[in-house]
Amino acid sequence: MNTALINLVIFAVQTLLREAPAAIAGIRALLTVDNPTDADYEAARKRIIADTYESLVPNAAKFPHNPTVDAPASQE
Amino acid sequence: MTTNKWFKRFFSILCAFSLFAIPIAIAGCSGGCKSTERTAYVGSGVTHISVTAALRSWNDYLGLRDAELTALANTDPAKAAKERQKLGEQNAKIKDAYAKYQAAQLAVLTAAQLFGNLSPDDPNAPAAADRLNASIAASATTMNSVIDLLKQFGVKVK
Repeated sequence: MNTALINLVIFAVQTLLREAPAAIAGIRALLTVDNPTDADYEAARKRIIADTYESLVPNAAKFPHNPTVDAPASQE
Repeated sequence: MTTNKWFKRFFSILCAFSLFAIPIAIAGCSGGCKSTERTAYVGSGVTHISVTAALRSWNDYLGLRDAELTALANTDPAKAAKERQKLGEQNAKIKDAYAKYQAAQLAVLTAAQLFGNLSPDDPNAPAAADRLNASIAASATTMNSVIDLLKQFGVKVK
Protein backbone atom coordinates (compact mmCIF):
# COMPACT_ATOMS: atom_id res chain seq x y z
CA MET A 1 0.00 0.00 0.00
CA ASN A 2 2.75 2.43 1.00
CA THR A 3 4.82 1.46 -2.04
CA ALA A 4 1.85 2.12 -4.27
CA LEU A 5 1.37 5.53 -2.67
CA ILE A 6 5.05 6.41 -3.06
CA ASN A 7 4.94 5.31 -6.70
CA LEU A 8 1.87 7.44 -7.24
CA VAL A 9 3.55 10.49 -5.71
CA ILE A 10 6.71 9.95 -7.78
CA PHE A 11 4.65 9.52 -10.92
CA ALA A 12 2.60 12.62 -10.11
CA VAL A 13 5.70 14.74 -9.48
CA GLN A 14 7.34 13.49 -12.67
CA THR A 15 4.19 14.31 -14.60
CA LEU A 16 4.02 17.75 -13.08
CA LEU A 17 7.65 18.49 -13.89
CA ARG A 18 7.30 17.18 -17.41
CA GLU A 19 3.94 18.62 -18.32
CA ALA A 20 3.53 21.88 -16.52
CA PRO A 21 6.61 24.05 -15.91
CA ALA A 22 4.48 27.12 -16.50
CA ALA A 23 2.11 26.00 -13.77
CA ILE A 24 5.01 25.62 -11.33
CA ALA A 25 6.05 29.18 -12.13
CA GLY A 26 2.47 30.27 -11.46
CA ILE A 27 2.41 28.53 -8.08
CA ARG A 28 5.78 30.05 -7.19
CA ALA A 29 4.45 33.50 -8.03
CA LEU A 30 1.47 32.94 -5.76
CA LEU A 31 3.66 31.85 -2.86
CA THR A 32 5.75 35.02 -3.05
CA VAL A 33 2.72 37.09 -2.03
CA ASP A 34 2.80 37.41 1.76
CA ASN A 35 -0.06 39.81 2.25
CA PRO A 36 -2.32 40.02 -0.78
CA THR A 37 -3.29 43.59 -1.58
CA ASP A 38 -6.45 44.80 -3.30
CA ALA A 39 -4.40 44.92 -6.51
CA ASP A 40 -3.42 41.26 -6.06
CA TYR A 41 -7.07 40.30 -5.66
CA GLU A 42 -8.04 42.34 -8.69
CA ALA A 43 -5.32 40.65 -10.76
CA ALA A 44 -6.47 37.22 -9.56
CA ARG A 45 -10.05 38.05 -10.51
CA LYS A 46 -8.97 39.23 -13.95
CA ARG A 47 -7.01 36.00 -14.48
CA ILE A 48 -10.03 33.87 -13.62
CA ILE A 49 -12.38 35.90 -15.81
CA ALA A 50 -9.88 35.90 -18.69
CA ASP A 51 -9.67 32.11 -18.59
CA THR A 52 -12.92 31.53 -20.41
CA TYR A 53 -13.94 28.03 -21.35
CA GLU A 54 -13.62 28.95 -25.02
CA SER A 55 -10.05 30.16 -24.56
CA LEU A 56 -9.00 27.07 -22.59
CA VAL A 57 -10.87 24.56 -24.74
CA PRO A 58 -10.88 25.94 -28.30
CA ASN A 59 -11.58 22.43 -29.62
CA ALA A 60 -14.96 22.61 -27.91
CA ALA A 61 -16.18 24.51 -30.97
CA LYS A 62 -15.79 21.27 -32.94
CA PHE A 63 -18.41 19.65 -30.72
CA PRO A 64 -21.40 21.97 -30.72
CA HIS A 65 -24.16 20.88 -28.40
CA ASN A 66 -27.45 20.62 -30.22
CA PRO A 67 -30.11 19.12 -27.92
CA THR A 68 -32.64 18.92 -30.74
CA VAL A 69 -30.63 16.45 -32.83
CA ASP A 70 -32.02 13.39 -31.06
CA ALA A 71 -35.52 14.78 -30.70
CA PRO A 72 -38.14 12.74 -32.57
CA ALA A 73 -39.13 14.26 -35.88
CA SER A 74 -42.55 15.80 -36.13
CA GLN A 75 -45.16 13.61 -37.81
CA GLU A 76 -47.12 16.55 -39.11
CA MET B 1 -6.48 2.92 -26.72
CA THR B 2 -5.31 6.37 -27.67
CA THR B 3 -8.35 7.74 -25.89
CA ASN B 4 -7.31 5.97 -22.69
CA LYS B 5 -3.84 7.47 -23.02
CA TRP B 6 -5.28 10.99 -23.12
CA PHE B 7 -7.59 10.35 -20.20
CA LYS B 8 -4.68 8.97 -18.19
CA ARG B 9 -2.65 12.05 -19.02
CA PHE B 10 -5.54 14.31 -18.09
CA PHE B 11 -6.00 12.70 -14.69
CA SER B 12 -2.32 12.36 -13.96
CA ILE B 13 -2.06 16.12 -14.31
CA LEU B 14 -5.10 16.65 -12.12
CA CYS B 15 -3.73 14.27 -9.48
CA ALA B 16 -0.30 15.87 -9.63
CA PHE B 17 -1.70 19.32 -8.98
CA SER B 18 -3.94 18.02 -6.23
CA LEU B 19 -0.93 16.51 -4.50
CA PHE B 20 0.72 19.91 -4.59
CA ALA B 21 -2.38 21.85 -3.63
CA ILE B 22 -3.13 19.82 -0.50
CA PRO B 23 0.29 20.33 1.16
CA ILE B 24 0.18 24.02 0.29
CA ALA B 25 -3.25 24.31 1.88
CA ILE B 26 -2.06 22.46 4.98
CA ALA B 27 1.13 24.52 5.18
CA GLY B 28 -1.00 27.62 5.01
CA CYS B 29 -2.40 26.86 8.43
CA SER B 30 0.78 25.60 10.07
CA GLY B 31 3.19 28.47 10.07
CA GLY B 32 3.98 28.56 6.37
CA CYS B 33 1.33 31.18 5.90
CA LYS B 34 0.64 34.36 7.80
CA SER B 35 -3.13 34.46 7.53
CA THR B 36 -6.31 32.68 6.60
CA GLU B 37 -6.73 35.31 3.94
CA ARG B 38 -3.40 34.44 2.33
CA THR B 39 -4.21 30.73 2.52
CA ALA B 40 -7.42 31.39 0.63
CA TYR B 41 -5.63 33.58 -1.89
CA VAL B 42 -2.88 31.02 -2.56
CA GLY B 43 -5.31 28.09 -2.47
CA SER B 44 -7.57 29.79 -4.97
CA GLY B 45 -4.65 30.42 -7.31
CA VAL B 46 -3.34 26.85 -7.07
CA THR B 47 -6.81 25.46 -7.65
CA HIS B 48 -7.25 27.66 -10.68
CA ILE B 49 -3.91 26.56 -12.14
CA SER B 50 -4.97 22.93 -11.62
CA VAL B 51 -8.36 23.37 -13.25
CA THR B 52 -7.04 25.30 -16.23
CA ALA B 53 -4.32 22.66 -16.77
CA ALA B 54 -6.97 19.96 -16.65
CA LEU B 55 -9.12 21.84 -19.16
CA ARG B 56 -6.16 22.23 -21.51
CA SER B 57 -5.72 18.46 -21.42
CA TRP B 58 -9.45 18.08 -22.05
CA ASN B 59 -8.94 20.35 -25.05
CA ASP B 60 -6.14 18.10 -26.32
CA TYR B 61 -8.40 15.11 -25.88
CA LEU B 62 -11.21 16.76 -27.84
CA GLY B 63 -8.77 17.58 -30.64
CA LEU B 64 -7.72 13.96 -30.80
CA ARG B 65 -11.32 12.74 -30.79
CA ASP B 66 -12.18 15.19 -33.54
CA ALA B 67 -9.47 13.72 -35.74
CA GLU B 68 -10.64 10.19 -34.95
CA LEU B 69 -14.28 10.98 -35.68
CA THR B 70 -13.43 12.79 -38.89
CA ALA B 71 -11.69 9.61 -40.07
CA LEU B 72 -14.56 7.45 -38.82
CA ALA B 73 -17.06 9.56 -40.73
CA ASN B 74 -15.61 8.17 -43.97
CA THR B 75 -16.51 4.59 -43.04
CA ASP B 76 -19.38 4.93 -40.57
CA PRO B 77 -20.91 8.42 -40.69
CA ALA B 78 -23.85 7.53 -38.43
CA LYS B 79 -21.62 6.26 -35.65
CA ALA B 80 -19.32 9.24 -36.02
CA ALA B 81 -22.26 11.65 -35.78
CA LYS B 82 -23.59 9.86 -32.70
CA GLU B 83 -20.18 9.97 -31.00
CA ARG B 84 -19.81 13.63 -31.91
CA GLN B 85 -23.21 14.38 -30.43
CA LYS B 86 -22.30 12.52 -27.23
CA LEU B 87 -19.06 14.46 -26.87
CA GLY B 88 -20.99 17.67 -27.51
CA GLU B 89 -23.28 16.85 -24.59
CA GLN B 90 -20.34 16.02 -22.34
CA ASN B 91 -18.58 19.18 -23.39
CA ALA B 92 -21.65 21.27 -22.57
CA LYS B 93 -21.80 19.76 -19.09
CA ILE B 94 -18.13 20.48 -18.43
CA LYS B 95 -18.56 24.01 -19.71
CA ASP B 96 -21.47 24.54 -17.34
CA ALA B 97 -19.50 23.07 -14.42
CA TYR B 98 -16.55 25.33 -15.24
CA ALA B 99 -18.81 28.40 -15.25
CA LYS B 100 -20.02 27.46 -11.76
CA TYR B 101 -16.43 26.86 -10.66
CA GLN B 102 -15.40 30.30 -11.97
CA ALA B 103 -18.22 31.98 -10.05
CA ALA B 104 -17.23 30.10 -6.88
CA GLN B 105 -13.58 31.11 -7.27
CA LEU B 106 -14.52 34.76 -7.64
CA ALA B 107 -16.64 34.44 -4.50
CA VAL B 108 -13.63 33.04 -2.60
CA LEU B 109 -11.49 35.98 -3.66
CA THR B 110 -14.16 38.48 -2.67
CA ALA B 111 -14.70 36.82 0.72
CA ALA B 112 -10.94 36.60 1.36
CA GLN B 113 -10.46 40.24 0.45
CA LEU B 114 -13.29 41.37 2.74
CA PHE B 115 -11.97 39.23 5.56
CA GLY B 116 -8.44 40.52 5.04
CA ASN B 117 -9.56 44.13 5.23
CA LEU B 118 -11.06 43.63 8.69
CA SER B 119 -8.99 43.83 11.83
CA PRO B 120 -9.06 40.68 14.02
CA ASP B 121 -11.03 42.46 16.75
CA ASP B 122 -13.64 43.80 14.34
CA PRO B 123 -17.11 42.55 15.38
CA ASN B 124 -17.76 41.58 11.75
CA ALA B 125 -14.64 39.41 11.55
CA PRO B 126 -16.27 36.13 12.71
CA ALA B 127 -19.07 36.49 10.15
CA ALA B 128 -16.55 37.32 7.43
CA ALA B 129 -14.52 34.24 8.39
CA ASP B 130 -17.66 32.11 8.16
CA ARG B 131 -18.42 33.53 4.72
CA LEU B 132 -14.86 32.81 3.61
CA ASN B 133 -15.02 29.22 4.87
CA ALA B 134 -18.37 28.69 3.19
CA SER B 135 -17.10 30.07 -0.11
CA ILE B 136 -14.02 27.83 0.04
CA ALA B 137 -16.26 24.81 0.64
CA ALA B 138 -18.48 25.82 -2.29
CA SER B 139 -15.44 26.24 -4.48
CA ALA B 140 -14.22 22.73 -3.63
CA THR B 141 -17.67 21.37 -4.49
CA THR B 142 -17.64 23.01 -7.90
CA MET B 143 -14.16 21.66 -8.64
CA ASN B 144 -15.31 18.17 -7.62
CA SER B 145 -18.28 18.54 -9.93
CA VAL B 146 -15.95 18.78 -12.89
CA ILE B 147 -14.13 15.63 -11.77
CA ASP B 148 -17.38 13.78 -11.06
CA LEU B 149 -18.63 14.62 -14.53
CA LEU B 150 -15.53 13.12 -16.09
CA LYS B 151 -16.04 9.98 -13.99
CA GLN B 152 -19.55 9.78 -15.36
CA PHE B 153 -18.05 9.82 -18.82
CA GLY B 154 -16.38 6.51 -18.02
CA VAL B 155 -13.02 7.70 -16.74
CA LYS B 156 -11.47 5.43 -14.13
CA VAL B 157 -9.65 7.43 -11.45
CA LYS B 158 -6.96 5.33 -9.77
